Amino acid sequence: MTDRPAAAKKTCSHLDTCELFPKFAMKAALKVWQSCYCEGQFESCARYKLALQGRPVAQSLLPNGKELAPMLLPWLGMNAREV
Amino acid sequence: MSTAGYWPWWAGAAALGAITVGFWMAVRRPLGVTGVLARFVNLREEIEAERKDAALALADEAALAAALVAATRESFGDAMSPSLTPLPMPAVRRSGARPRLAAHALFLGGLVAGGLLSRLLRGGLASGPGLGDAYARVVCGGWRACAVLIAGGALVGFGTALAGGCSSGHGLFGCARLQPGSLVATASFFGAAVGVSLFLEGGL
Repeated sequence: MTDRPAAAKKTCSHLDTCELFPKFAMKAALKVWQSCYCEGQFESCARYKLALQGRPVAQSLLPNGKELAPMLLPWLGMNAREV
Repeated sequence: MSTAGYWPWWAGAAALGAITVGFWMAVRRPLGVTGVLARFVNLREEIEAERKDAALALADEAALAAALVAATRESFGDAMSPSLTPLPMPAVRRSGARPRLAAHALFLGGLVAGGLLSRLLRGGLASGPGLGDAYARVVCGGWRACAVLIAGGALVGFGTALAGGCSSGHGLFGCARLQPGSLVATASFFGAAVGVSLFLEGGL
């Protein structure tokens, strides 16, 4: 008798169209997003929820509902009004 | 119903196949007409999303990675890995970036212009309501046909929103990619269409 195979890990069905998912592969430090949302609780991902409703998903929307754009300001030398 | 005046079925199929494959090669995105149309239904949110993405478009990869690391630290704190080495790219078929609204506006304009051009080349625009004699015989004619078309359009809109796609998104693109949801959706709506057509023609 063999052991039962481990249940296939459920991943988000929007991986192939999500514009943020490949960016989480840029650094090992970002892997936590994939583990927590894309390959974990993707039902709670803000991007997944909007996509399910057929609403636009900004590339800068993080899975936890926060925006990435303000984090870019120091590197772009811009202030918040310009974004 | 009569199909006189239409392209032969094989020419239409070849053209649709070429458009589907060509669209993927050019844009690397699924082609779905209702999905494109839905962007203009949500116009205000679409413009807001494009505005937010403008900052990302200005950033190079290093700036984007740095911002993402900062956001990760803020959200996960000590749970994040301290390693900043790149990871191998995930083995997922990738789609390209979403086209801008202006590109999709051109696409919709092209659909209307293509329909008008085709009709003009076949002898000009018909005047009055309805979709011709065959439609009038099977469904209804005159101004009643307009009401039926509006009601049918609303039902199609409701159905495509419910199914997450239409005959182009699911039927052409999803089936070509053997996506199970698209295969079920296409079988459902084409099966229903064949059944209703046979019923209206008196074949059932």
